[in-house]
Amino acid sequence: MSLKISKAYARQVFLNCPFDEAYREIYEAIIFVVVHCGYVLRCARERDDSGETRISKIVEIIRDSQFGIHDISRVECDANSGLPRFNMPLELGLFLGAKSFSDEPKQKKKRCLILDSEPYRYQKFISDLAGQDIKSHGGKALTAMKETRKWLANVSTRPLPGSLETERLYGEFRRDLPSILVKLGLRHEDVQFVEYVKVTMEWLRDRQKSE
Amino acid sequence: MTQVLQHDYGKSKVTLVQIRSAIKAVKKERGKVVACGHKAKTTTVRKLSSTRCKKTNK
Repeated sequence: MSLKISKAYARQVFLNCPFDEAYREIYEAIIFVVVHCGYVLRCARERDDSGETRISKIVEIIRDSQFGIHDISRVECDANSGLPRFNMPLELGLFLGAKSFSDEPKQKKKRCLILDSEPYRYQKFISDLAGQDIKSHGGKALTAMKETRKWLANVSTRPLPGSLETERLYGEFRRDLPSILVKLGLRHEDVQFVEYVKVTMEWLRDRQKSE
Repeated sequence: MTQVLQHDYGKSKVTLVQIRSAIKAVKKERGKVVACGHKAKTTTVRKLSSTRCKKTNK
């Protein structure tokens, strides 16, 4: 018997990745391809509410998202603390746990893409993931974009735009972005997740209107 | 064409109206560059839109 999944759940993608300057190019490329493919990105950074604990926010977003993109490549120690950050593996664990243990049937339909910067490196630091199909982006935005689109093409039940079209539009978007940010009075490094997603959505919508 | 979905992310420091007008302005500037074949300076776009391009007299 097929399970009916709400449209909202089936269109949401939880993004679990580093949000620092060194990774910015990669996560911005992932955001673009996901939005262009007609999905909605969700992330713990979308709401800045001091009255809400971060973990409850993450749990809620994971519960609402059928899909998840998890980048576990940031294993280096933090320059200030000398310690590695465990947020990404924790959130991946929550996502996999929700799929395995939830009583809600729709949670069993969860699908995820796990990314690392080097192939098979994860086996050295998170060997419990051995046997999973983990993709490598090599620290390159274009590769991350291609892997994300390939994965979406596998898990999506709807037609997606062609990879060449996405790449062409992304090139044009990156050309326009600095001027757009200047007009908004924003420095690129100050752009928040929500602002970037909104700019991406509106730019693509504008392009669709004019094509 | 795949439809770009709308999602209410709540408030951000820049509004949707501001984003839309920034995108429109940049698009207009690009259009000017294509139309006259010369690179328009950001500061002179307003002027170019009401007058002719001095380089080509178009």
